[in-house]
Amino acid sequence: MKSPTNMIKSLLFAFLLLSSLSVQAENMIMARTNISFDDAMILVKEKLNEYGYKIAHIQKCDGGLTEFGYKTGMYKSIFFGKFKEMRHITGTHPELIPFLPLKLVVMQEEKSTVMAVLNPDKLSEIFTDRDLKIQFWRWESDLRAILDEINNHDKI
Amino acid sequence: MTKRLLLLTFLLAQLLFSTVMAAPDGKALYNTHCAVCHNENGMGGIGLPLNGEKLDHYPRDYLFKTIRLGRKGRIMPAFEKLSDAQVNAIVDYLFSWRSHSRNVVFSKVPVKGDSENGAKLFQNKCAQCHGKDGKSQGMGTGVTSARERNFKVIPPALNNPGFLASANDEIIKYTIKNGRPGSIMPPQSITNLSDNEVNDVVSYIRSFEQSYEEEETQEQEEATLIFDSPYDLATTVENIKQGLQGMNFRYFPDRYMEMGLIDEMFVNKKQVSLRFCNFEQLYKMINIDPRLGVVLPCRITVVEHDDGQVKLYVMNMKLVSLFFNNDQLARYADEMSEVMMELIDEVTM
Repeated sequence: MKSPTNMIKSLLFAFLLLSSLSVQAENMIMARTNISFDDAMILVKEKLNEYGYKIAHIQKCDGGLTEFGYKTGMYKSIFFGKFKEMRHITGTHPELIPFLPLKLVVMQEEKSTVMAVLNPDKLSEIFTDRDLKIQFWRWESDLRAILDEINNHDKI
Repeated sequence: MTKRLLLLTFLLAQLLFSTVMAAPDGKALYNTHCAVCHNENGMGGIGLPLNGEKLDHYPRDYLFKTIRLGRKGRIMPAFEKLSDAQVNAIVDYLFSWRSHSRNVVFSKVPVKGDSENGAKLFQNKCAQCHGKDGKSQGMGTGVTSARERNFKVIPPALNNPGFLASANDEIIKYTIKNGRPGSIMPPQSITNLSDNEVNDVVSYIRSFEQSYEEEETQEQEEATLIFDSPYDLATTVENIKQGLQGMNFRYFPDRYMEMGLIDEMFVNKKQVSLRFCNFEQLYKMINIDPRLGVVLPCRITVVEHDDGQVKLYVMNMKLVSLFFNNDQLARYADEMSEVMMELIDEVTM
């Protein structure tokens, strides 16, 4: 006899499985906003913090490219995560190490700013462990909500 | 507890039901699924421009199939999760940008032409933009302006299963005869193709389809490559740095994986990330697909496990084709992957 918690987990897992049957996850979760790149960076950081994530560091890809003489718009990668999740997952599933911390890229496109993140749920097609499926789903849910909020920010 | 489970089941069922029954809003769907690449007003970005006169000539069926099937290997995903009603709602929204409300219909009767002659004409008249193999001469897609491009609007790939399944012969013929107003695609009056020659080119473009059936299904790659190091953590890290220097990579200061997520005092100092970059390669790859940043920079993470074994963890660059749906990028990624393997061989010897 399964415990009630396990039953709920099973039910949730079955729902996730049913809702993703026969179709693959979108590869990326993306958003476009008409606010400036600098304001978008601030907003992304704020939203990530609101959802409990910490910014680990920011990779200034545009700085490196410009230094080497290449033309580019502003372009930065934000590394973020939750310490406890990270400690747990790198211990139990070290094969996920190259994908952590999570990364969100912010790029300038004329007067717009585009943001993209690898859809964590896409990883569940590769890493099929059941516990990971739930983790990926949580990340996807958070990231989708964060980017939706940013996307709608300039429309309010 | 049974009541709670019943309630949960009811809520999940209601959620599914309401998702299925909601009337689709084309504008909202466009803004959610398309605007990030094609821009809110359809002026393009990572994706091609959708607005302008050309929209007047697209039949519904072409746009419907384009959304449903996408463009394999050209970033544009296949929107398999959207219902038919949702896809139609997006097409309706795109049609609201047209200058007319006529129903554009093209005959589905195949065009008959000499594909061998079409091949010669294609190389002479079309390959300069659409590529010798019909897979586009442009690097990247769309109109992204933040980096250098070799075309203002990257010419679409014609040798693409999504395109050929969406465009029937008459649509292709119409485009060759009339060109694309507002783009560099010239009309028949400029290309000087006769009507028969236009048919030959159409037949040649259609013949690309024959090669798709022969393509083998690729085996699923491992997402993470894991290597044992015969050295201790510090020596392995040092070996990698020396290897990177020798291979013309610029490397950034080492980081412990957990740095920034918790006070530095508590981070696991047995997980070291080495980040590095070849900016020339990076520039080419970002031009092809600006979303590359979601897996950047190149990184090798060295971990000393509790049993003392030191392992290297690397993202398999070959997987980018899975994440990015971008064949051009996948080719560069394969090259990068070989360089990384060479480096790892060297440092773990």
